[in-house]
Amino acid sequence: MKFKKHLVLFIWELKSYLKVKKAIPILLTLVLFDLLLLSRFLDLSLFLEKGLTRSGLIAFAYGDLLYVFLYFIVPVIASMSVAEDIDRGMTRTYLTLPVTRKSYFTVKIISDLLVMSVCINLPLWSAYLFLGVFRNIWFDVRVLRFSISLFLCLTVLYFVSLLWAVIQPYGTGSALSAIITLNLWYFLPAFLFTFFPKTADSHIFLYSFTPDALLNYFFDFLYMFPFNNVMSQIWLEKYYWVVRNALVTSICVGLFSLVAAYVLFSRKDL
Amino acid sequence: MKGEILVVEHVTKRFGKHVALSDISFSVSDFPFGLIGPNGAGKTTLIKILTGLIKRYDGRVSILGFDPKKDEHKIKSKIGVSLEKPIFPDVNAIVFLRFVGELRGLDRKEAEKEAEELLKKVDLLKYKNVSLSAFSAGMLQRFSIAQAVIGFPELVILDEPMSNLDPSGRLMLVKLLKEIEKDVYLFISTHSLIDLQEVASTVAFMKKGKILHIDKIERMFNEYYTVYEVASSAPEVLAEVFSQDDNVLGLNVEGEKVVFRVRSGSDFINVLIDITDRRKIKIYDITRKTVTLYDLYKKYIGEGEGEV
Repeated sequence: MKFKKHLVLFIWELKSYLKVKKAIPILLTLVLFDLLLLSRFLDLSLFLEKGLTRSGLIAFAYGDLLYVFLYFIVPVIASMSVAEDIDRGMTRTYLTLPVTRKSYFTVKIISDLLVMSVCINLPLWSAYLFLGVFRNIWFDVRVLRFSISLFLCLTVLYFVSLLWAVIQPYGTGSALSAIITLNLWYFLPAFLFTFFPKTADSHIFLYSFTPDALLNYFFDFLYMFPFNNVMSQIWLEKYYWVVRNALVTSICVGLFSLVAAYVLFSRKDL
Repeated sequence: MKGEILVVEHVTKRFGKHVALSDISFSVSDFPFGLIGPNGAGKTTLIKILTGLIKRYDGRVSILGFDPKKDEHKIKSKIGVSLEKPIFPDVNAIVFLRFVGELRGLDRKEAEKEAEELLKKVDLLKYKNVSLSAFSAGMLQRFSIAQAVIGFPELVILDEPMSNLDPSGRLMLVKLLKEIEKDVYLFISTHSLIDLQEVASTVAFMKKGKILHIDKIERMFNEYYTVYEVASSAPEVLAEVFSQDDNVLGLNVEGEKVVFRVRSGSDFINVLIDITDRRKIKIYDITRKTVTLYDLYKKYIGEGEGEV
């Protein structure tokens, strides 16, 4: 009986992701992730052929832009299942049903992480297999390690979003707050680089803790994109990065505003 | 329906320095049970404790023999809850109702069938495939009752079920509650005293986190004073004579009318006949005012205390 209840709740959760409102951002995420991977592989080809060029750097900038977008949209969208419930006061409704508090949160978080995993792995493996077939490579354990690392990293961000939802319940917009927090995390060093370029060296330390840099450590560690060492590029192309971050910042602010608007308008209590 | 269903012993709940519930104790064996009190009395806090939404409190609670702190799973299988200002996900009415039915252990077909029957009872069957996000406040309220009742729970707790309902909606709900109270224990917290009077068997009056009085509604009515309005040719004389009568708790002269508040109606009528006979006083009209829950509310809670 208890198992059946969990199963009913679990199926209900998975079905709720297929609703139009959630399906659109999730599909968008999948498409963007595919684009991101393609752009990375294209970057690889470009650099292998021509070395570091201006067009190559611009391609990097756009690639990173997509990265940044994904860092935040995936965990935020995935965490909406719980955070959105808390924001809208729906947790109260669910907890009056024949479901215990423990069951409710466990099932919700597991289904959130499952959807997040699909969001990461489906496009990753589809892009990899597409390019793998193209290059006659069928399987590479590094891709598996990469997807696991990315999943773990985003799981941390997911729980950051969830934490916001829990500590700021009732109408403050937990998902929105999470986006703002994570944005600040990313954009503060970029902002400092852009507007205080003379002290750029001192901001590198700060930058090294952003999600962008952290994920790049993963890439470096996995030797998947050895040429994309953010830290070394910062040292080598200091002034380019100032311009690049300004560009990334302004475009990302626009994109995140769209995400924020989506979150805002999908809420009923505002 | 009989049985020791709900027991609350020395329950205290604080939110910071604010004491929402102050050492309350009561038990209910006669249902339907009505909880009455002004805003801020602690009714919703008590309901949240009973339904397991609040777990940190002092004291002990037992519902259907289970402790909400320890036996959350067992209790939730046996109770249906409709909270004030209900919020539901953006799915079709029948889909959510079926989901709740399945959670209460019905199989899909049973849940579907019962969901349709309940939607019919709350006059929402034609909206069964409409998203709950498109429902009006009144429709959501009626839907909330249906989701509380589906799956045959033993105890149904309704917090402000009449709010947002128009008169026809209230009539429909009272009819539904009268129907379901034969099969379930009903716990209703409401400001709508007229509707509650139609349904409840036992009522409790609550104010500032305390239960002021709890009893069977019939007994309270019997113990309560009766109001008579007597229009006569000599109101001043009647007022003077009855002011000495112990049976009369109070009186007011309003023109040719005297309004009496009396303990025993039959004693009052006997004395009135005797006096008017002896003193040749003409009686133009006698009106006996029916006692309502509102009168009891004024007695236990007081006038001007919150909204009714």
